[in-house]
Amino acid sequence: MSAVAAGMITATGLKMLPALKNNVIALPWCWALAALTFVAIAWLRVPLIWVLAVLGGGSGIWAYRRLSALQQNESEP
Amino acid sequence: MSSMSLGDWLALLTHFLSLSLLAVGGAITTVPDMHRTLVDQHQWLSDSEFNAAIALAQAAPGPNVLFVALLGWQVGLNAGGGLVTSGAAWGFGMLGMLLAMLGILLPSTTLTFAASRWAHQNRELRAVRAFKHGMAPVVVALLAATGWILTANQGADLAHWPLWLLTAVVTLLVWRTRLHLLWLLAAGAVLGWLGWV
Repeated sequence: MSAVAAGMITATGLKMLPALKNNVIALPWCWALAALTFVAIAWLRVPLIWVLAVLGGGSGIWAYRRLSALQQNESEP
Repeated sequence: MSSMSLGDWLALLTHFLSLSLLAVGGAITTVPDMHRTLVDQHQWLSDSEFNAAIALAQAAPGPNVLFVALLGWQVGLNAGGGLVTSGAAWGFGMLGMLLAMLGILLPSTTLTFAASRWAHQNRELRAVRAFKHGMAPVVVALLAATGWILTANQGADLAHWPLWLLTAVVTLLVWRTRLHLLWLLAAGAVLGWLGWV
């Protein structure tokens, strides 16, 4: 049963993949971020707080800059 | 007597208190960190006990966050001798469950209560949107990492290939079909009972 539970949890994550297409961060970079996070947590066992601070914080700032750039493009005729 | 000191119990509470605030994609995304601390670092419970708590909570009705209660219960039970052989062991199990649930629920509910209204009112705000966009790929990876760690806990060597195959098949089925989760859990239970995986 715990093998099934592991599959169910992984699939919950995979079901969110289509939503990444609408992300302001381009899809290949989303994949790269996800891959980095996976390796850090699952294989290297880096404490969650560091992963969230560095990768989560970094991608938040990145998304913020992308959103700013998009808005500037819209306001210019 | 409990094999855990007062400081250990406090560490159990503070571990869940801090994870509660880091649970960006729900409590399940903090499973890797729970495993790192409870199993690897403190050895308060074994890999298989850790997995059993999560599998049981997934199979049982009710919110899946109840796996935290089962983890706390098992940690307390182990501290009190491992089995419910005495009132004391039962008491320690209850204490573990109480501390774990208090820890995982108190900060996040308080924060959610205060922040979700604010975030909803300011959902057009660039910072709020950036946070959601930025966190999305991280949350996907955290869920996949949780699945990976649960599978690896059962044995990472070649002899355990049927378990890895079962996890892979279930992942595909849940991802690509609308098959009911209880059928899958039941199938997993039967396969395990027959000794095939």
